[in-house]
Amino acid sequence: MNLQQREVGGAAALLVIVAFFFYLTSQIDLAFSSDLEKLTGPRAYPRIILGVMTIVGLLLLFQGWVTPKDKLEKTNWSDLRAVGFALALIILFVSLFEPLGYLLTVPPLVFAAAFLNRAQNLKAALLVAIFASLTLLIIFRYGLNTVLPEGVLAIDQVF
Amino acid sequence: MSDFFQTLASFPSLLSGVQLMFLVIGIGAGVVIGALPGVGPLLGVVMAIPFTFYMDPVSSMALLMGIYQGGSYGGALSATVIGIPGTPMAAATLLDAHPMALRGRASYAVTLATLASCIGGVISGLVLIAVAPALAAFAIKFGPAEAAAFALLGLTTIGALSGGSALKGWMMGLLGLLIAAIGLDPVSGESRFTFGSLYLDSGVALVPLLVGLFSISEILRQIEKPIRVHDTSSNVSASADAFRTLIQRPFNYLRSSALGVFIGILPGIGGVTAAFLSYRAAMVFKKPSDPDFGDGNTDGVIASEAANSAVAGGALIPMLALAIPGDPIVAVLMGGLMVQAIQPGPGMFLNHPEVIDGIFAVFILGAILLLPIGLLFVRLIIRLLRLPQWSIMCVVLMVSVVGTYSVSREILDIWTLIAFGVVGYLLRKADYPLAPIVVGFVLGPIFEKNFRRTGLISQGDFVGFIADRPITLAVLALILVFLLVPLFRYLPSQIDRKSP
Repeated sequence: MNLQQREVGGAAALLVIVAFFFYLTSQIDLAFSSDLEKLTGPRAYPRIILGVMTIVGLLLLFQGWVTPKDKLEKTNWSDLRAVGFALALIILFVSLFEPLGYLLTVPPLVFAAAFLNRAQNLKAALLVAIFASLTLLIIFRYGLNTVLPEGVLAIDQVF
Repeated sequence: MSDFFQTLASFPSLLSGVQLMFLVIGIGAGVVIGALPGVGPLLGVVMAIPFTFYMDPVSSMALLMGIYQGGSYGGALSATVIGIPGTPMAAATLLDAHPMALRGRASYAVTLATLASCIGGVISGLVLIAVAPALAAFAIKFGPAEAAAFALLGLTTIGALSGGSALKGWMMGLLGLLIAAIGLDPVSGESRFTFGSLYLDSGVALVPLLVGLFSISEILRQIEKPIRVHDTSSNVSASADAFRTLIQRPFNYLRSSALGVFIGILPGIGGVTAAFLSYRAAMVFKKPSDPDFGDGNTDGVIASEAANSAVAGGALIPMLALAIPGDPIVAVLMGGLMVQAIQPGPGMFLNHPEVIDGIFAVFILGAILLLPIGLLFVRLIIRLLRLPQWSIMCVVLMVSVVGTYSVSREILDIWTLIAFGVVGYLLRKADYPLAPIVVGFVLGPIFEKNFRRTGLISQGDFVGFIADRPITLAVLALILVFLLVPLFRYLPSQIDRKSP
């Protein structure tokens, strides 16, 4: 992908989002169908924003069109794969956070994230994962008086 | 003026021990965060927002402003010791402080930067206390048309916050306005863009939006391109020599601070410009016996640090008095007040005077405390610069996710966080600025409410209504100037590029 393609692609993607939201505004109910409601009602304000976004989007498209086709830094697919893994990891964490609880999900998340961030020392990563998770738990539990999910380790479920 | 002295005199009774503790924690954390390349005060303030949910408003602002002040200064430490500015604002400091460190005068350079930051902060705090209430007293008389016009003026700062392309910045600001429009309509109560979700009825929550956009996207970016860790020397301590500059070069301290405050008040210009402008001004007054600028000149360090620290107080003036955030961090601070159900602007001076006084006290004390905290813990902070980047990013990830969840214990908040994290990552890759989204998001509800109230009062005749309101007309004219200036800059540059 060159710079021009990136700029045109970005502007086009934003214009598609704008068009989608413009369609959604037609589904907003109007309490009255007076002229004043059309000017100041719940549809009008988002439509003004979307109208201006369309103009700016078209200008961005034009700006992208006249941008030189300079080469961008080549995408390193293994790095992008690491980003994908990180996202998958966070999604897995969110899915399990409440059912399993803080102590069973946060330290593994931190440990795995350390490796995605190219940590080389297994012991150090493990120590950071455990120490940082426990510190944060203590800050929330005793400093801010907030109970984080206990999950399967909840006392009333164990006994 | 008597109010000014009354406010100063009441400082000792304004802050409780707990609030003072949060201020010290904020400054300490801010200095570390500012010193670490790739983290910075913006990310620090964003990460701290979930914690402030459990605090009273003044404690919350003590923590956030402490991080802001500490972070603005912290960048100078890494700039001096390893030659990498922890924050863009410290780039001008690097020019002279790093050569000093290379010649074995790191202690002198660090003490000088700390002292200049402290003085810049105190002077800007005094201006803040003197100017903000007067400006708010003037702004309190505004009707919805003026309030909408000022909100629109705030939105035009987006062009200046955009870095490379003003168009991209405006697009992102508009995206922020659109995101702020999600939820129940503030006037009629109709659902907008909620897809039938009850969670979205109350609108997109500020904390997952902020943390996702800045924190998660930064983590993803650093997974793709890690930042190198630098070897550092921790042989730095306070230097008495640096304190003599207070007597030898007082005008540089004053001039640079005044310039920083002035630039801070102007929306969207920020600390980097202030630091370099002040640096340039110091070059004009160079003493013949001093080393060249860029080669370890004392005035260069003072000018840059005093100015970039003074920007903070200046930037708070339009935010507190007019609800105009002129800087991305100030936009996040504004969000921090909104999390506490406090709407910045002239009404805050009437409805929450205790919070205003607390903010003033926090700001001045924060600037003063920067000196002992910065100097006492300088060795420890420099040692922290050796931490591997992966460990910092792991802590950032953990605090971001758990902190966001803790605000309302709502798992959907973490899904929102991830969604904005991915959006932020993609926007960064396409070189779109993220700060304008926050400006649009925090100003959106203020603008919409007042814009629609103007429409209702005028029965839809906006032009006729505004024509009788000189302040609104003047602000709209100013907005036009702000919008046209980048256009006039952009068009000739395009023509130059096309011509052979």
